[in-house]
Amino acid sequence: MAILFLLPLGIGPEKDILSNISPGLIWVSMILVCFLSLENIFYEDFNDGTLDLYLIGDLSLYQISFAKSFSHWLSNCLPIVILTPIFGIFVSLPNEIIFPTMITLLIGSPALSFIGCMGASMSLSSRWHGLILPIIILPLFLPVLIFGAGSLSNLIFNGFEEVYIRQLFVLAGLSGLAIVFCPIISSYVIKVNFE
Amino acid sequence: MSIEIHNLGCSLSGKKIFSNISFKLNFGELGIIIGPNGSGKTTLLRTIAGLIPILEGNINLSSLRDEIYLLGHKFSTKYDLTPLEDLKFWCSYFNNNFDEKILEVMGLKKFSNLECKYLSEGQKQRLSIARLLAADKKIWLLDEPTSSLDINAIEILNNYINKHLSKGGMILCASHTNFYEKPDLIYSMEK
Repeated sequence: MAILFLLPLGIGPEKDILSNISPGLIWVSMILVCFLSLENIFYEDFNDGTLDLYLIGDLSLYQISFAKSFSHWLSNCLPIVILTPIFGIFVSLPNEIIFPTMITLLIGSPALSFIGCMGASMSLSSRWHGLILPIIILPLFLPVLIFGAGSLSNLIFNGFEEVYIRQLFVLAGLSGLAIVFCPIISSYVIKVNFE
Repeated sequence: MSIEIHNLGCSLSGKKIFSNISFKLNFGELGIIIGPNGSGKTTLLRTIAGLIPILEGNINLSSLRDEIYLLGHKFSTKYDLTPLEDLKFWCSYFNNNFDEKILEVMGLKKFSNLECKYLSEGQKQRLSIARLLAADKKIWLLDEPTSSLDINAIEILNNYINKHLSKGGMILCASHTNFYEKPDLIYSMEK
């Protein structure tokens, strides 16, 4: 979020420039927040034995992965969605774009959390997990970023509401796929890490 | 009722850790696995707990998989949680009622509201034993349970082991030292 506060100071008070790049800026900030918080989502539990305790209890690895991803979304992405109107002031986000921005973030951000958790499980037993994680998940974040920021650009510059709505559907599809498949992949990968 | 292990073998990352392990342990009995570092004691316990897949042989646990608790040598403590919060969480996770007496018994009452990052290794191990008692499972798999404990805590643990065995529980323990006087089974693992 520091980017959103510092960038206007770096670029200068040119409102037009900020308005044009503000949707992309908010999306990039969302992705950076995810990067920062995903690194230890499984790593600490894996190393301190907590994951062992979870597994000898009643929960399956799928349930643990799903719960971790969902709690990541609740604690990291949802606050940004809610605070978008405030961040929007700092980056001169046009008033009429604030609500559409919140909608794209709300629909697209679950994909970031679920894909991110899958990536975190893949880098679990690596000593360089902090370095490997961005390499694994960055390419998977790109479609979400492209459709998230792209839909807003279409709305701002071209006023294409139909295109915006179509791209929202694509975002919803990406999130849906991530919610369904990422915990399954994640649970399989964690199991392999135990072997 | 018993656990029967037949010709068990296990590998980690493609490297064979142990093979041909066979023994039987009944309920109400305590078994101790001894062996040098790297002989596979921890891996054996983790395999029995179902955390590591079996390479060869089998473990006859019938329907007791849900009754296993593994006390590993990692303490699973979260540095920003207090022992009280930690125990409450795990009690709810294992669907048991929280009894504050456990903290008192394990000598942690005084530190119950102190964040775990301030606890010593011995106190963390006491907390993980408190968790074992709170989980209230029939089969205890204990991995070096006395490694950081003082004499007083070992005595408390021994008392609880006796109570658990008299109630018909089963304990399998990996240890360098024979901290329990009369084990029913001593299994030696070679490196």
